[in-house]
Amino acid sequence: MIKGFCLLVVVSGILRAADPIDLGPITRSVDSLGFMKPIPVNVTGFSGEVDSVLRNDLAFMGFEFVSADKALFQIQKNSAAGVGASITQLQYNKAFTGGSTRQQTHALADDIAKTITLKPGIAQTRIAFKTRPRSYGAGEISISDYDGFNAMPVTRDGAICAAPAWGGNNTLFYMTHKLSGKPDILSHNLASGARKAIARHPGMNSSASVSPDGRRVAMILSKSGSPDLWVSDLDGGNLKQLTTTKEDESSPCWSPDSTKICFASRDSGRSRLYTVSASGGRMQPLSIAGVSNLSEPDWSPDGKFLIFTANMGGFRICVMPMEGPLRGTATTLVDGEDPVWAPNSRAVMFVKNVNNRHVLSLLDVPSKKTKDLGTIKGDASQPSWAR
Amino acid sequence: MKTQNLFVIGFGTLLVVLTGCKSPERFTSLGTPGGGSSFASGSGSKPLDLGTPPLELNGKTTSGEEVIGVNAYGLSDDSDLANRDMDRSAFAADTVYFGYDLASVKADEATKVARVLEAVKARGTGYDLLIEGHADERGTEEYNRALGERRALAIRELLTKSGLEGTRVFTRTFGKDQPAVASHDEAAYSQNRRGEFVLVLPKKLITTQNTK
Repeated sequence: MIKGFCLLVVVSGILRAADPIDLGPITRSVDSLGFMKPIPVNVTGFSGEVDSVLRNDLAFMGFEFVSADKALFQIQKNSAAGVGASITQLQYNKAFTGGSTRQQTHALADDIAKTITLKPGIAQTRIAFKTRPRSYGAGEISISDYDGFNAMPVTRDGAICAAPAWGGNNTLFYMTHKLSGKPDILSHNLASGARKAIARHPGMNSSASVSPDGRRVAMILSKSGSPDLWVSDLDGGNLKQLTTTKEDESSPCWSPDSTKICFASRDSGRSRLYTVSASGGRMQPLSIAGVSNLSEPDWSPDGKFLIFTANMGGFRICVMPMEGPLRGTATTLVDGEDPVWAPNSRAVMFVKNVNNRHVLSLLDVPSKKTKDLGTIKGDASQPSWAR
Repeated sequence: MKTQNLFVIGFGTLLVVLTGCKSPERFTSLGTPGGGSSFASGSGSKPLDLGTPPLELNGKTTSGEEVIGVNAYGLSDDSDLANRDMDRSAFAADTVYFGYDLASVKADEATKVARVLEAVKARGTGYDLLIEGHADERGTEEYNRALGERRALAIRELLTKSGLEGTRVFTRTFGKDQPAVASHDEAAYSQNRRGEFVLVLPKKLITTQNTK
């Protein structure tokens, strides 16, 4: 049996409630930060695109691939039409049809991950990001599958576009210079193609972030005389100023319950992270040891972690638990910037600098394993994960 | 509202509708992810046309909660800035440079600000000033966008404290998107941490035709 699977969590009852398959007890353990240790699986019978897509998906949803004798679960191709698998230990036997082979495989990977880890799947999610021919100058907003496939442009503004953020209902928020030659925030309904300016105030309007409940937008506006944190309804109305510092704030993100906003501020000289109630109040500094010059926070959807960029002679991705004894202690993961959590609160998309070109890369936070999205051409940065 | 908020950009509608197949028991048919994910993208055949401004400025926003007035919070209405003619050469020699990660105007740089102040005052009303704030590449993107704006606002504050009307001074930030020197060393960085002055020429007189 697998060594280290000491923290017993009986999940069969939970699964049984939603699924007729009897899993039997699954044992799990977590690492020092509280992440589930990778679940050893053996995958057999698949080939080509299905095999590579399935393994890539599972690798970023908490699985590791081992030989049959070391595996906790045996995932083998079944003989059904479409893409399907059976898992002997779980009496699991499903197949997915319709769509492309790639989509079928993503659906299978998500289903397996949800069944075993009880976490949301990520393989059928999408990301938005900024793309441009080189590392500066005008750029556009694009979207793709989470693994960089099926990329397509959202804007054709021929201007500086940046800072995309997913809202609900297939809507993207982002900044563009298209309207008035300086940063304004638009919302863009991807179903209808309709675009609306939601923040077009004097000065800077950027860094939109939509609350998880889909009701409010946090953003940075400078119309009060310095770049401050503001929050509004999705259409830009009901605008409220949350910070009034003389120095600049940047990169707001939301707590999962949509009550708090975390952001960076240079109020104390160097850039630190703060939280403030989304309804107003005093901004509270986050005490984080071992790192400095912090920006670009993102709060994990399960609320347990904050991930952010530390600028210490180069950009580093750092993670900090938001609860428990390790709150206040940052762990440096990899070189990179602008991290954003996947829906499973385990994988992260971030920006890697490869010879002064920005490349989107996937990161499995507990193992620090990364995989660059090689299908996206040019310079890609500022990822936002639809979750 | 005299303008409509909607701008349809392109007809490249991609329907990600997956065919649902009858499947045997225990087999799952792959539905439409997210309950209907069709979307239009800008990659369609129609050129993007943003046309008229989508929000009625100096009035109420779509939800009517707040009036965005000229100088409501201290900054000037810059809604028509994109339509104004600009002279980028007038103050090309007066670009203000900043220290690393700093937004305060150094004493020896302030003389440039004073020179620009006198020149704009001498031009008289109708001429306005745009300050463009930039940062070097060593900060993260949105951090630098805010830093660039803060630098432009620091220069603006010097000008307004010296008597230039706030309504005549606009700011815009480029963050690290428009480096003056596109290389990756301190020599480039020191040229990229800057505030540039642009002379905004008087609004053109528009002859309107009476159609009634």
